[in-house]
Amino acid sequence: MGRNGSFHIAIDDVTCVQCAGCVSICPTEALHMQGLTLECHDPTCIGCDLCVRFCPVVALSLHALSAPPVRAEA
Amino acid sequence: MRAVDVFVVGAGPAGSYVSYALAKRGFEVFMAEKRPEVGVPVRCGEAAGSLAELEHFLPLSDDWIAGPIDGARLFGPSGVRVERHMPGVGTQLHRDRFDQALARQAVEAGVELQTSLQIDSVGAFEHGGREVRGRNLAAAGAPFRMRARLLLGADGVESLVGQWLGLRRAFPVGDVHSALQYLLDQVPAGKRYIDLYAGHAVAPGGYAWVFPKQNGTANVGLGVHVTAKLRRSARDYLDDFVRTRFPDSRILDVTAGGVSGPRSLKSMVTDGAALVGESGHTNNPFSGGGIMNALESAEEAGVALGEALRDGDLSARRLRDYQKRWQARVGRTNDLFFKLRNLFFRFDDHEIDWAVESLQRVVAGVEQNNVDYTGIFRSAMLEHPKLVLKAARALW
Ligand SMILES: Cc1cc2nc3c(=O)[nH]c(=O)nc-3n(C[C@H](O)[C@H](O)[C@H](O)COP(=O)(O)OP(=O)(O)OC[C@H]3O[C@@H](n4cnc5c(N)ncnc54)[C@H](O)[C@@H]3O)c2cc1C
Ligand code: SF4
Ligand code: SF4
Repeated sequence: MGRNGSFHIAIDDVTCVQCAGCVSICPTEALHMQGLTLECHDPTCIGCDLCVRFCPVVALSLHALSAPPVRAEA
Repeated sequence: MRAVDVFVVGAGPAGSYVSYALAKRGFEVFMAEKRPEVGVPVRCGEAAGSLAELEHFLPLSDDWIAGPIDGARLFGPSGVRVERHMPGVGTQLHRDRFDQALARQAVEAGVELQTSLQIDSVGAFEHGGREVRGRNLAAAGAPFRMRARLLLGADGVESLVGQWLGLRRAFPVGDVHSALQYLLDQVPAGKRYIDLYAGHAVAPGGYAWVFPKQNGTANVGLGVHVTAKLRRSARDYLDDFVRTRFPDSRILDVTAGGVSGPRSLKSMVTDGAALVGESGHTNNPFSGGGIMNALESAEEAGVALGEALRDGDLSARRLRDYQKRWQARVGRTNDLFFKLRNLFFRFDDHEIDWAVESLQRVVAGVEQNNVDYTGIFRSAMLEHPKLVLKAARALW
């Protein structure tokens, strides 16, 4: 498990059939349906990879952000 | 802000039926559905109960009936099979039109239904109700707010309402099968049986299904149990299955989804709110079937929550009557199915074959009024000694 804010979930829009299966098992509510369309709120994702392994049609991939945004010093 | 008696999130079978049941009892019910059109797209194998069972919930109509299910065959990995002729035991639906008919029945009973309305959050229970907030997706996401004495989450497998209410978390990944289904043409007609295929090569921890629809079409799909060991996707398994069994068929439609087979919820209710249908963990944990269970939970909710509304007591304690009724009707059996599911996950292919053969002996025995349970138990002890241990672990 990683830190919030260090991950990006890429959704392959051509492959995804918007079935919401991944939403049902995402432990952080990072994945959600906007009407009929799947969206991911990256800052909430903890990089657990469950959705990637779950998706019946392999539409998701998980990317670690190499340089997570750092808050600028005041 | 407008206030109603009951606010229902989701217009699937659970939402539509509980809305109908409460509107019939005289309450003002508002139902929100985020899809632009109820029931579309279909995410289901569309196999449901008998016509008599369905008619209990909705007047029958050829509009949503694709045909009867007259029996079932179950195939083990080595090809062993058990077959049972049961005319009219089930019904193959057109699920989109079925869901629409249920929603129409609710609207005709006085329910106000708004589509393209997505609910995003719910407030705490205060001053005898909760505030519900959402967005109208058909109007550029215009904000929506309403108050209700009672909030019902009927938002299905992707339920977030239950999480906002603190009644549940996301499903553990092992409790939801990763499922994919094709609508195929040119499926040999034969008897109107549903065919199920089990085995690690076909669908690890799950099963493949062939449910005949109309004019030589069939829903052909499978669900797999997602574990750390799983190396291939549901799509890989289904493509193999279709290539070997239906090489000449064309894929007319694709459906995917999560099929939940969950443990019962500790609590389906909280102050001024309850979960109905799949969001309340009502699916059969062994088969994953959830249409009839959703309707049955909605019926029990209609009775118990209707009485609570009438008496003006919406405390969690009072609403628990709904859960008690559900447990007595289906929930307790589901708890047993959940254990069986865990046992099934531990089976190797030989043990699945043994289970299919044993079922065959039970079916033959039932037909002759004489089931040889001792013989079946002896064969388990002698041929599959590990089975007993596995059963002990899974069942107790
Ligand atoms: C591939 C597959 C095959 C299946 N095959 C079968 C089968 O053959 N037989 C069977 O009995 N069961 C089957 N099931 C299970 C069955 O589909 C479900 O159990 C059933 O749909 C549950 O009904 P429900 O009313 O609880 O939820 P749903 O039918 O899922 O309805 C929930 C509704 O809520 C809406 N919603 C969700 N969130 C919000 C929100 N925030 N705001 C507004 N609206 C919202 C959704 O859009 C949806 O319309 C299958 C499932 C899958 C995925
Ligand atoms: S499980 Fe896969 S196909 Fe289904 S919504 Fe998620 S990414 Fe899309
Ligand atoms: S990786 Fe985990 S937390 Fe991130 S979106 Fe997928 S399931 Fe959710």
